[in-house]
Amino acid sequence: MVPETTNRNRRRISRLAAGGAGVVLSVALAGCGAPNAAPAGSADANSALKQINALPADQQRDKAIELAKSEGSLTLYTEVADDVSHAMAQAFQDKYGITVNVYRASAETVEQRVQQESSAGRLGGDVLVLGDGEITDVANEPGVLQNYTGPGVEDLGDAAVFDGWSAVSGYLYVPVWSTDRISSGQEPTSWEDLADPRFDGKMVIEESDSNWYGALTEYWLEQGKSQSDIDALWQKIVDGSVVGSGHSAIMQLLAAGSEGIAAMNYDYIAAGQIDKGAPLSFTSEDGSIGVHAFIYPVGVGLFSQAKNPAAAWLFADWLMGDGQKFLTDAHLLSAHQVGGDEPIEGVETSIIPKDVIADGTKWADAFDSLLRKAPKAPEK
Amino acid sequence: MSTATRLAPRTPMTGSTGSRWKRSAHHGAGRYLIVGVVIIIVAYLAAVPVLYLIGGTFTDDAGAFSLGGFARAFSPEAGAGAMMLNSLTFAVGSAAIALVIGTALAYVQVRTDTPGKPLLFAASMVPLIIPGVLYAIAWIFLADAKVGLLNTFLFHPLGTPTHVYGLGGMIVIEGLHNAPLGFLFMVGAFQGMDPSLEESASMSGARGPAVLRRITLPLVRPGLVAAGLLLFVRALSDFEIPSILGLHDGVYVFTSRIYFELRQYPIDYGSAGAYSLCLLLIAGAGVGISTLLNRNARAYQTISGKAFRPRPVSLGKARYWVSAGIVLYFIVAVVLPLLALVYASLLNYFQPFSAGALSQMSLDNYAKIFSTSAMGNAFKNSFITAIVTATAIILLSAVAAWFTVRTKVRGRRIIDVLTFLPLVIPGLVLGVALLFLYLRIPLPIYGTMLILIIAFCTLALPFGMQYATSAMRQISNELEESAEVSGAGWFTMFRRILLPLASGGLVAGWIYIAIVTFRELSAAILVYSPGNEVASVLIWEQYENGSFMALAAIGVVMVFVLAILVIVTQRISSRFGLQREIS
Repeated sequence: MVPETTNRNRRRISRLAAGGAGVVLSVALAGCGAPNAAPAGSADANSALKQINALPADQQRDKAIELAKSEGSLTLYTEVADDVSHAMAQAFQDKYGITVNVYRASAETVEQRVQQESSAGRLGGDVLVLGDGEITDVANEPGVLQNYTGPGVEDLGDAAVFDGWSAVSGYLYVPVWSTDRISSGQEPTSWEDLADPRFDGKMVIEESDSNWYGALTEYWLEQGKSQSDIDALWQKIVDGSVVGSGHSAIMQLLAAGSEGIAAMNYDYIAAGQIDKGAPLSFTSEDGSIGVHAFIYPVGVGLFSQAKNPAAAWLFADWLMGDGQKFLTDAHLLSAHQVGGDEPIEGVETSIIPKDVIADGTKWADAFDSLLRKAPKAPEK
Repeated sequence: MSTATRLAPRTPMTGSTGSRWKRSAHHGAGRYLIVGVVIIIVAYLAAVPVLYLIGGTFTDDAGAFSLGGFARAFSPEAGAGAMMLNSLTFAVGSAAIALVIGTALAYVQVRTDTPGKPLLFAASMVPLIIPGVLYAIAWIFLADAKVGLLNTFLFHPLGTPTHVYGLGGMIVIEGLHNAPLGFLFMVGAFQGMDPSLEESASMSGARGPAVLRRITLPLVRPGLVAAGLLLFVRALSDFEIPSILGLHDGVYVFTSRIYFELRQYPIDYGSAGAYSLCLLLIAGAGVGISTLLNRNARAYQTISGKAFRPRPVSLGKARYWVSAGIVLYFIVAVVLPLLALVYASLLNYFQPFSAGALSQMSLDNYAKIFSTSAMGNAFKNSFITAIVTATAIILLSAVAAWFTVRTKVRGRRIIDVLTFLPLVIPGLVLGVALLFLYLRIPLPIYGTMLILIIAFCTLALPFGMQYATSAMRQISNELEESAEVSGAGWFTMFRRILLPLASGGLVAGWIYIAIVTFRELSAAILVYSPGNEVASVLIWEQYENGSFMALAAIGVVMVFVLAILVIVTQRISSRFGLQREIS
């Protein structure tokens, strides 16, 4: 679906391996019996998955349980928050008696690790849970990921099933504000509202939010705005803002009242802070979200070279069912909400367009350029 | 072991050092073997990420030679000129602050009769123990114009609220954070200095400031130069404080751009590599300048064959002013950030000081971190990796430093430069390089703690080498020559003469490396495996989860745990006669 981007990213990542250092190191290692770098599905993984997939849907789970128990454990690679991923691992272990080892890091770090391991033919993970951009990139690498096609995805909407992975969760891009600094009725009720002078000097923009910039620009174009109008809107938004680094860090500064409003942040981080009593909000008093919120999916895929393929299948299956509770308890969206067959109350949504993800570099450069030229506006 | 000093010789003794490498060949192949193996290990540690970085920067998507990364990084839109200026201003300013504070504290610690020195030593380490990201956030909690505790209590009532963001805030806070590095360096330098020279000057009628300017500081010049260089490059390569405090006011430095590029999707390694190589050039220039400044190396050898007993300098009436200055420093650099962290660690979310905030305080964050089953394992792993890394690097560096300082082997300066380079290599790039290599080596390294230790050793190498080189420069050749004349083999001389004499600097280096290894994250996050988590990975988890208050609680625990480690290290080293002055 996004070959251009993923190929570019893959090439950039593998450029290090292909470069002079790679040559030097490869030559040095030639005598060390370096494994074949071409990733290929392991025979065991393919055999186990074939056995499961060959059965009717209502028998697949039992077969997977039988095979997974003989495997005994699985390794999950994920970007999902530590407390959520470990709670999921524990619950899965309690239910099936299968140990889950968790490698957790930021999305780009997980992707790096997978790229390196797969290019060396030594994948350490069995199942991958990662955000849209990175899991798409991994899935486009030939022979690295396989989609889970069990009964769990059968009732998902088409929007949740991708090439090599399925959406298991997601979150919303929304403005978040301090209720101490932005009084009720003053909150933004549309993205255009962010350009209003009432937010000047109170607003912070995260430096890496180019997906949002691209998605919103395309949304405005679809709404009939001209490019020059859109550029002017962005200029006004940025002129009244400061730049921040890290969505969690910005949320803390909002909670403390140091900043007034984040032009865009993630709903689940805000909801978690609100649970702790922080004076934050991303909804109006009636519970609605005024802006058109963008959904960023989080997906699951099975590693083709998995050492524990049946356990990986079973984990993906569980994630579509009982595991959903852990994700939604952490204020993430359910797979059905991301897929579109279950409405999200009080907000109009759409998934981040694939072409925005695909043209990541273009949007990142444009957003970066916009942010760095911005003058600072005094607080109103 | 008697240590001694002599007046710095005005003319270098010719030939003896260089010829000794050859002359004492009769002491066996052991020396060649040990030194050769160490040099290979040290060069290997440094070369892997450097080659990888260079390879990635100068190749295009198809793997062909390209300067595209430089074109993107230094395009007119990228604003590289302003970034360069910001980077240099930031690095020079913060290094100056850290060096002045560190040198003053070290002098008081080693050379004066100030009471409570063990406590002073441990307290001096606190800013170092607090991870940079947490130190910056603590300062936002303290000095933010709207919600900072200092502004709430002090500056708002006075009508002059502070502004923590921007270049000024970055410089001051980076300087305070790095002051322990300068302190540790100069502790080693002052320990190797003969106080009788100062006493002679005083008896000859020189006043205190004149003694300081004309005797004390010149004698510790190698240490000052090395510490200044290290502080400068350390600041140049730091991204945490510039990212958190600089971007807010539109202040970009090279590292904030590297961090930005590495967070992008897709990652632009070419640009990140181009910025990193630019930092390498600046660091290389720094090494060159420091070599030039220390070129008359023999002039600074203060530990020689004549015995001396270090006597503390009595500060007299100045003692009160010095004490007041130290107290002020500790309030600003240690107590206030620590109080901010303690305050934050008792809350669910950060809020300005108020009755409401007080009523919400609890120990929940501490209960949360202690109930995390992985925490105990992670702290154990961190202790193991920190101790192994610090010990290995200090021993390797001591041998490598002997090679670069004492021999005249052609090309030895390459080791100096090479070992300095990991300082400016982004941790993520180091992690990728190590993954690339060790995934292809059929040895049980990937997936074990060994790969973490290799990563930490690589990152610690520049610090180990600078500490060891600085310590080695202070030791006169004549002690080695005496040992040789008396029939001692090289290894015996190294173990029984050089290591004990250099112990002040080496122990300081060990402490520094152990602490920074404990909190190192950037490479660890990529190469750890489930079950091998280290404490810094868990800290990052809290940061990513937005649990800053739990993060503050971990920071407080770390300060106490590592302060105990520092005190224990001091005690052990003093028991073995290695650190008389500190204890």
